[in-house]
Order: sequence, then C-alpha cells, then structure tokens
Amino acid sequence: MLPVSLLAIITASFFLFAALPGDIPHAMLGQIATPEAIARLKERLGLDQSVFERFYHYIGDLSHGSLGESYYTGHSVLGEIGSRLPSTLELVIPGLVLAFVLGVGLGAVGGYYDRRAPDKATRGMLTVAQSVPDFLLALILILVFFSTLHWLPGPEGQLSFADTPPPHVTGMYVVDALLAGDFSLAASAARHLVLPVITLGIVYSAAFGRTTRALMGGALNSEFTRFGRACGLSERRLIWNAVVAARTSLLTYAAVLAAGIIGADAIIEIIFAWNGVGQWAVQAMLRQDLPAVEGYVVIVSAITVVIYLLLDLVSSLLDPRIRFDVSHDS
Amino acid sequence: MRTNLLSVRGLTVSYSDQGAAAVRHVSLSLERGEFHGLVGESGSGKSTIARALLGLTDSGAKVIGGNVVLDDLEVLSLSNRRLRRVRGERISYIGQNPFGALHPVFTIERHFELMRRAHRGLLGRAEGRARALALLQQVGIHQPETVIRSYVHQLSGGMAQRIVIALAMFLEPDLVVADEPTTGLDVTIQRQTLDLLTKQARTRNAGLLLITHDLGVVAQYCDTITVLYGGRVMESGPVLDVLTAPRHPYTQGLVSSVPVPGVPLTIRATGKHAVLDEGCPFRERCPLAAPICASEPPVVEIRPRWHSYCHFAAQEP
Amino acid sequence: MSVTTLKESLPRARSLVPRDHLGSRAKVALGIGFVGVLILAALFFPLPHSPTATNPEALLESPSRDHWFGTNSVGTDVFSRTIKAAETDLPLALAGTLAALIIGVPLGIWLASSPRWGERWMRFLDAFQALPLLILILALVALSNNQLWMIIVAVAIYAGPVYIRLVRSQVLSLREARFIEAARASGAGPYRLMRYHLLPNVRGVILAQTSLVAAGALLGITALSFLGIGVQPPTASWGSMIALDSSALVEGHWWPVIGPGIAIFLCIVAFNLVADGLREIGEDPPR
Repeated sequence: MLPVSLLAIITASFFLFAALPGDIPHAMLGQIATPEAIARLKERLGLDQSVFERFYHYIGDLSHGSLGESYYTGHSVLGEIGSRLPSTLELVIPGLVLAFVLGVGLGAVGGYYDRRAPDKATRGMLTVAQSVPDFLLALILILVFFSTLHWLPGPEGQLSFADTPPPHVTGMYVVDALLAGDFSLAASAARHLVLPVITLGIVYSAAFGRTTRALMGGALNSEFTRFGRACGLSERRLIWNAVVAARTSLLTYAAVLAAGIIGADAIIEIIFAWNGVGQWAVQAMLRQDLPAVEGYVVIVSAITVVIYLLLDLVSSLLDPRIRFDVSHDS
Repeated sequence: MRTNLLSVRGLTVSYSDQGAAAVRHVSLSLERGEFHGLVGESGSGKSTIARALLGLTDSGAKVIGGNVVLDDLEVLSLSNRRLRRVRGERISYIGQNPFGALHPVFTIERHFELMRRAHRGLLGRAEGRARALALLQQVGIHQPETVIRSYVHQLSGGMAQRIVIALAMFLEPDLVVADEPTTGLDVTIQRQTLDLLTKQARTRNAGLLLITHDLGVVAQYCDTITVLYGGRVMESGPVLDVLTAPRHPYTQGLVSSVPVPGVPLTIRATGKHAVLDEGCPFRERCPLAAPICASEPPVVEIRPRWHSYCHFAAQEP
Repeated sequence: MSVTTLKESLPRARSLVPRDHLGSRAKVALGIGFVGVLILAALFFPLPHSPTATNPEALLESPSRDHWFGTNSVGTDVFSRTIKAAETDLPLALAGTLAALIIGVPLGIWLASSPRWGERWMRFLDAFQALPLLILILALVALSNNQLWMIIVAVAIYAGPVYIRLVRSQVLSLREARFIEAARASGAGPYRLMRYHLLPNVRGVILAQTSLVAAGALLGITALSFLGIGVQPPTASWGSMIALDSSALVEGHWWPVIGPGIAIFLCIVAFNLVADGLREIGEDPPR
C-alpha cells in the first residue's frame, strides 16, 4: 500500500499545487511584472503548458532520477536537497531516538504506577509538553540555556562563526570532524546539536508518550506480568519483559513518530539557523518555488516510506508471532 | 507424615476504592501433602485470597489484617526481596488463563531460564534445562525438545496449561495455589489437567490449594474444603463431612442445589446480594436468618479441623 | 510471629453514589469559558493600547503598569496585540476543526456502512496519515498565497482522517449493539438509525475528540504564521508575533515572545481540559 500512496501523494500534490490560486510569475517578478515579462517567464518555467503536460514531463524526469530545477536558483532540486540532507539527518535521527526512549520511559512509568501518583505526574508532564508549540519550546530553551545560563550555543546553526566546517565525507559535521580527528570541532558541532535535538525529543516524546502509556500499561498489567511476578521475577525484569512484549507495537508507532518529526524538523531548522532540507524547503514555499517544494514533498514522502518498510521488516524479525505463521502441534 | 504447612489467620483485604473489604477474617490451614479446595461464587474473594498468599495484591487492594504463615515464615511481613524468593520456590501459582500467563515473545525455554535466574543459586544452567525437559515429559508433552523452543502462540490451551504446571513445579515448591486452573480449557481436557496437577503435587508431597466453583471437582480431588461467600468463610472441614452433612445454611444450599433425581430441594435461598459488613454476608438470603446474624459470625468447632461460621451451626441439618 | 490486628474498622458497604460529574463539568466549563472570553475580549474589549500601532520611541520596554506585557521590537503593546490575535487564530482553528468534522463524520459513517469499501479506504487512510502531512499543509497554504480559507481547508485535510477513523470504529462497534438490532427489527431505516440511534451515542466521543483536534489545529496555525505562512502582519497572530521577536528573545527580552506564548499554552490547556472533562462524562454517563 505504501508505494502506491507514495505515488498518490506525488500525483495529488502536483495537481494540488498546480491548482492553487497563487500566481507564481507575478510573485516572482513583483514590481517589474509587465505582461511580456510574465509571458516570457511562464514560457521559461514551462507554466504555459497544461497541467497534464507538465505532469507528464515531471514523471518523465522523475523516472530518470531528476526532480527538475529550482525556479529560484536554477540548480537541480535533487542536488540542493542532497547537499542539505545530511545536516537534517544529523538532527532528525538523534531527535527520533531521544523521543522514542523518553516516550517509552514515560509510558512505562505511567503504566507501572497505574493510576497512582507517578502516573498522574507523568500524564501532567505529557500534557504540558504537548501544549507548547515546538517553536516556542525551542525559543524558551534558547532563552534559558544560551541567553541566561550561557551553557550552550545559541541559534547560530551547526557551528559557531569561528569554526570552519570539517572536510566533507558524510556531510554530518560531528561525524566528519571525528573522522578528521578534530575533536574540538566535533565537540563544538555536538554542542550545537544539543538544543535542537532536545526540542524535537521533548515535543515528540509527549505525543508518543500517550500511545506508549496505553501499550505499556497493557503489558505491565497483563496476565504474563502477573504470572512472572508470581514466579518470583524481579520488578525490573518484569518491566523489561513488558517492553519486549510491546516492542513490535512500539516500533510501529515509532514510524508515525518519525513522520511527525520529519515534519516538525523544518521549523526547528529555521529557528536554529540550521542549513538543512527543511529550512530550505520553507524558503522555497515562501518564494513559490514550485519544483523545489514538489521535490521536497517527494523526497520526504519517500524517506517516510523507507522508514515504514524498515520498521515493518524489523518488527517481523522480532516478533515470533509474525515469523512463525504456521503453528505446529506436537 | 503430615505437618502443618500453611496457616492463614484472620486475613482481611480491602480495596481502597470500594467501601467494603473484599475478604474478611478468613482463616484456613493446610498440611503438607493436603489437597484443599476453596469454593465460592465469583466475587466471593477466592482469587484475592489466592494472590494474598503469595503477597500479591491487585493495585488498589491492601491487606489490612491477619497473617499468612508458611511453615515458619510470616509471608506478609517479608521484605520484597525475600518475598520474591518465596514465590515460585516455596509457593507457586497457577492461574486460569494459560495463554495469558506465558510471555508472547519468549520461547518456553526462556520462561524456565528466567525463573531459574530469578532464584539464584538453586540450579545451574544445564541442570535447569535438564529439569525443564524432564518436567515437560512428566506433564505429558511428548516432544519436549521441540516444544521447549516454541512460542506460546504455537501451542494449544491444554499444552499451555501443562507448561504452566511444569513451571509451577520447576523449583519444587511446598505449596501450589491453583486458581481455577481448568476454567479456560476445553471440557474434554479439564479432567486430564486436574489429574496431572494432582499427581504432580502428590509426587512432591506438596500441598495444593485448589480454587474452583465446581463442587464436583472438590469432591473428587480434595481432602478438605473451605466454602467462601461474600469474603468470609462459611464452613471449612473434611470434604466428605462438609459435602454430605453440611453445618452451614449456605453450604447446605450449595450442596442441595446440585439436583439429584427424586430428592426434593431442601433449602431455598432468596434475596439478592451478599452483605459486606460486620455481620454474616448470607443473612439476606438465608432462611435461618435472625437479628443476631448482623453481628460477627462465631467460629463453631464441630470437630477438630471442621468449623462452621454460623450461629445455628450446632443444629444438625 | 504475632497476629496483626485490624488496623481500622471496616466501613459498611455503600450503594453506588450517583455520579454528577461536578468536577468534569467544571473542567468543560472552564475550558470553553476561557477560550470564549478570549475571543470576545479580542472582538469587543477596549484594549489599553492599539494592537497594531508601532512606536519607535518605546521599543522593547519591559512590562510596566502602562504596558502590562511591555512592548515589542517595533513598539507595539504586547498585551493588546496578544489579545487581538485571539480574534484571528482561535476562530481559524475552530473553523478548521468544524470543516474537518463536517467532512470526516459523514465519511466515517459511510465507510462504516459499506464493508468492502471501508477496508480498502481505511488502509489508504493509514498510508495517507503515515506521511508527513505538516509539510503538505505548509506547502498548500504557502503556495496559495496565504489565503485564509486555504488554511481552513488544510486543517480539514489534516484532521479529517482522525474523525473518519474515529466515527467509523465507533459506528462499527455500536452496530453490533443490541439496541441497534432492536431498532432495526422494529423497522428503522438507515437514516432514522443514524440520526436517532447511532449519532447520539457517538456524540460524546466526537465532542471530546473535537476539542483535541482544535488544540492541534491551533498549534498548526501558530506554526504556520510563525513561518510567515498563513496569517500575515499587520493582522495579529501569535505565531508571527513570536517570529518577529525571536531574536529579541535570544538577547534576553523575553516578554514579546512569552506573551503570545502563554496565550497559546493556555488555550491548548483549555482545549485539553474540555476534552478530559467530556471524556470523563462520556465514560460514565449520568443516568
């Protein structure tokens, strides 16, 4: 179903964007918009063709691995995305891991102390965390940890102005700095990562925490936990067993979590002046740079599909119920 | 040689969100090797008692009175760590849902291994595995090598319950608490399972507390019986005596409600619910009820080890 | 080995206390009240200062008796502008929620009633919701030149599936219920069934979910205006207020951001409160 809906999203978004009332050539030319200039621009951008013709060309380009050229810079969209993708990944992957661990932890605490004080406390925390928009949280964290306490760097991007980026290997500064042996640079890059990753982690652990609370609550209050307790297993072991029992469902929801984080990442990048794909895409949106926006939607959707497939694969490997479909009776 | 294994005195358990206590002043005792049946309607407190014996309570439930003594161990006052050692090692538990009891993602082998590791020092790794395999064989599983590597969803209900029994016997406990062990099983294998359970207990000279709502099962497998209603003991004593010549109106009603062709019903219970307070819970339905029944029921000893908790117990039925 | 005595005397069993849900009703009232008051204040309340006037002579002043929340980086009174923004942000969020409801609920009922289509469309919906919809929303609104009605459509697209899914599962589970059987047996047609039997029962769940959807819609709208998409200045919007003064915040002037920030936070908390209250009442309906 997923590859199908990927195609559907590409198609739908293409037509949707094309159908939007925004007048692109007008917006791009602004003051100097004379009818001839508009006509020429339209022709150059291919906007004088019908939607279907454009779509046809687009799919054609896509099958050759091209996402077209940006209206704004003229460069290949794929190239622009590719050069910024590692920076985004450097942010999104730790954020996802943090959100997952925090979410499961909070859910486990809530589920274990079902209805008692710690459960209510974690529920309260989750509600508060979900009530604050991510950009606001980011700003507050910056205010506290940078402006007031001076513990962490501010919203200046991946490195301080004084730092020079490491030689490009992966595009992820921390990794590249380590590979180049420059530990202080790696440390600086890592320090710049802290606030944005924490923001993503906190906000999304809240959303995730509700689901995990239900899952963990179910597992921790289930028959097998009670039986384990009756057999003398320690509480710590029981909690771990519950996590293991729920791990497939948790991973499935983690995929939804990943999709959400990819979406939120754009805002975080903008706040922290991070040179990633999200920030680039929002600029493109503001500039009505259609191919860029379209390309972004395609890439992001594709990444999400890959994540889902991966998670599906891992789940089926981990869950014996899926693995051993045929039951054998002795 | 039978020695006193379990002694429960005045056990009282209360649920914090309900006003009344679920279990009140319950006393019973078990000797080593004795099979004791605990019967009662649903809601009479049987499962609560069963779990309390292992120091387990549902969230919201608290033991607010009484004690549970196993040999010389005061179970309820043990630290959590020591209590964990007692569970599985000295008292083990079998529930009614075998599929629920086993972990969905672990192999059977892992179940045994986890239990072995929780009770450090009792069994070595190889020894544990050998004993597990032997136990699986004893409970009637024909290909233990294969089954031990299976997952719970690959097993039938009967097999799962056998494995639960095997796990319950794994560390050679002194007392086995079986809470309606056959309720979740097919009728055709219920008897097999009970035979198996009792045989296993007997070979180890372990005591068995068999909780059930089925009088027939108690009559067939148990030496002694305790009848529970509304959280209190109604009557407790040797199975033959209590079931043939009951000395409590509730037991009488229970026994006579099993229809025997040609024999008219002698007791009729009317009214609605158990009354949960200081008096006898049966008094709303009891044909012999009198004002005195609103006070704490007395313990009337009919014979040593045969007690009835009723003001009118002395009367022969 | 002493016998522990009863630590407390045991209370009589009491009959079930009639549930009047005082606490839950209070939650709902408080939440709705807060949001309502805020909108009304934005529309009618005479604000101490103009919410749009700039004043180059009073930039970034700290909170004082005159300016309760200080002024922002172009001299506007933060308090007034924060209140004023409520007349845009909140109605937009509510409108989007309503649109999602209007689209989602009938779709949900329809999907529940045709089993073949239902399964297939649910799976499609799964896949649809799996993709980062926020991106789509951003793009849609931005590319349409920030028209407000597009925002409502975008919210409807984002939240519609939530309703579809919810209503469908509710209807499916209710369909098995006895009273539906009885109604059908007495000759009720599909429309009658839906209107008099199904809808009243799913109403509670839908309402509770609506409040949560509204919360999400508000978060989405503020995110949009933060990015400069959607509501544009000089129209007051909490998101764009925060964006404008984010650099001021980094330098330590916290109030131009915290003002709108608190407003957003309190509104979300209010919506959550309403949802909680409605859920509690729904779980145990008064007889």
